[in-house]
Amino acid sequence: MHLYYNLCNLLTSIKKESRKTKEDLMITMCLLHICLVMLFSIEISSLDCTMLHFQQNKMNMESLELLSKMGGQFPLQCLNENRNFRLPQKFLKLRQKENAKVEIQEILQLIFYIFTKNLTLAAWDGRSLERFQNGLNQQIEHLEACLTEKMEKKQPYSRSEEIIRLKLKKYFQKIDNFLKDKQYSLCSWEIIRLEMRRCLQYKHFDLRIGIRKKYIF
Amino acid sequence: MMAVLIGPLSFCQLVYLSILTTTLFSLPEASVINPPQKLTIDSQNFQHILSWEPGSNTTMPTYYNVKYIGLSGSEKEWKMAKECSNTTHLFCNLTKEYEEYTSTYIAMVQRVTEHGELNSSILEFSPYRSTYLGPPAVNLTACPACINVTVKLPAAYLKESSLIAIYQKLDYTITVESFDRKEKIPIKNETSEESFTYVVGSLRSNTNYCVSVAVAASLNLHSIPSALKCIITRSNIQAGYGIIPILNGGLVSLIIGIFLLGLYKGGFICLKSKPWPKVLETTNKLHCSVHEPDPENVCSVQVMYKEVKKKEWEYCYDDDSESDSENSGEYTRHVILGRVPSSHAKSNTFVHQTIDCTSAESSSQATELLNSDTENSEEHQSVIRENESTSRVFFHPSSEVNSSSTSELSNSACFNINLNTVMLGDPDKTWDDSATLISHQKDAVDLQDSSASDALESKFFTNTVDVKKPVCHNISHEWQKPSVSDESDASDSEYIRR
Repeated sequence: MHLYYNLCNLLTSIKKESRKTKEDLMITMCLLHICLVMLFSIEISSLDCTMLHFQQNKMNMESLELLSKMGGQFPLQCLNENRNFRLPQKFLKLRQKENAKVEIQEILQLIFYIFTKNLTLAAWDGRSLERFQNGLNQQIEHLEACLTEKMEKKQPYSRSEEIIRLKLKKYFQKIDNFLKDKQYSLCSWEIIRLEMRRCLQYKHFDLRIGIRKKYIF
Repeated sequence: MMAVLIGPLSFCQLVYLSILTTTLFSLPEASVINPPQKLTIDSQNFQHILSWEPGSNTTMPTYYNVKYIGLSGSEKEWKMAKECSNTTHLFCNLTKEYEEYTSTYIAMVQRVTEHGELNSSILEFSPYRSTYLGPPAVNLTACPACINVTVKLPAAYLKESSLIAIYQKLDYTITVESFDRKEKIPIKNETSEESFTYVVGSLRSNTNYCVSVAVAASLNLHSIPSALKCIITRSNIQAGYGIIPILNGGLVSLIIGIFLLGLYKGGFICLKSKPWPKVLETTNKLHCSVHEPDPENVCSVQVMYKEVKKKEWEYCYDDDSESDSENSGEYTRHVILGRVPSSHAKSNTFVHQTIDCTSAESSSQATELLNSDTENSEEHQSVIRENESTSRVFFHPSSEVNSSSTSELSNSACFNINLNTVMLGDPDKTWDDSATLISHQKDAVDLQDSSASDALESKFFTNTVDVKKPVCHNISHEWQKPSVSDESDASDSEYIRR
């Protein structure tokens, strides 16, 4: 942004020095207009809540990639830990616009919360893990900023929405309990890593439906 | 000698022995069976085919088992792929096995031997993010300087499901290339339909272009583009395309024409400006003057010698322009006719009809001369050429007052009056000599004048728009009795100046 500001100043100063013919004035005005537009667009794009879903999608992709990269192949010895956590498949489908954004933010926060637990036995690539955590944090903050900026009224949840919300909470509670029970062992973490990949895919999956029907963003 | 012979012999033995040992050693390796290796999955639109390589070359037929397990599922044991149990092929179709497309599956190939099973390494695979999408079915139709691309998404090898049902939105890229591969135009867009159309515009007409379409999802960037399909764009020059703009232009101009016509009829637009009446042009300048529209107009004027009672004195003067310049003192006065022609009477001015008795010269000089006159209209300048006639001059005013026309007036005789011979006197007095004559004439004139004079009197003093003052007032003169001279020469005519 500062770069553009400096550029605009430079352009205007150049024009001032030159001979002030009518044409020059016209060009100067035109340049000033362009500069103003650029400045405003930059201001807008830095906190662009209209393009929020694009940003969110991109960050989801990155998070998924990082999750895959963190660890190696699934260790066969952990097969006996294989567990179906019953990810709610229909979550976010019935969302009203404002509630959907809130729900996505909640999910992201829960995922982030899980990955702050004891990871010593996980044996994952530290850098990828860090980047993953930072990415999640960024996503959460961006969503929060857009929600507070728009000051949208939180509409009361409908019955079906409440049910889905409860299911999601149960799901994450199960994961938390599983990790605790297995004492944050390597195998438990590997299982959870896979599960989170599924979750992020699902979340993404439903967001797209929302966008198309203009529910969410 | 013996040592030499023993040497080569032992060398041969050594070689023989080494060959034997190597063959012996190599034998056990041939008997080692390796598990299948290099597992790969070739997945296209959720159709997954696992293939592998055998661990070692054997001539005997080998049997393989394919096992898989879905992670994040409830199974803790390997599942057998039903179609690939004890198969001799080196591939296996796992489409039906990998039903839960969001899960991650691991697969393994077992080699069946008499001693047991040899497990290969596992292969992890997540269909949702790793299957290749496409190629879509592309149909091209040509249009002028554009191509109509119809894309149909491939079917997904899933039960009652399609790519759109799985991914909701797909991003597609249309690549348009010129035939010689010099231009490449990528077009990106997204779709939520199974079948969609896109019109690629801004192309050159009559050119061969090749089009390829690739489809991908936001979380799955693996795609297989369609094969290049080529088409030639149509030409731009078509009669049908030219007619429409011409028709539009004609319609617009017609509407504008009707609109203007309406304005004209309504009086908002005046095409021809009505000419400013010539009378009005000169009324500003003239005070007591007569504008000569037609130099050739000839009129006769009645000069009332006898009556002084507020009748106009009308004099007929010659426009003697041939004699002199305007400042020579010879004034020519244009006689005012007391008639207001209806055709000119817009502003109730009366027409000054020129009386040009002899010459057809323009009266502009005279006009200017008259303009220089003061407003005092009591005195009339008169230039009277001496005429050979008697002192009594009779003038008949013209009955026609159309000054613009070259109406010839009756009694177009003009007389030159020598003022010296003119005598003005009391209106009450009557002239003895000319009484009868005058009265006779007067009657005749009166009849003509009756209508006009009244009109004139009424109109004389109505000031009009641009007339500064009434034109000529009724003249009541007090003529000085000029000295009568019998001079008849024009050159000797007397000038009366104001």
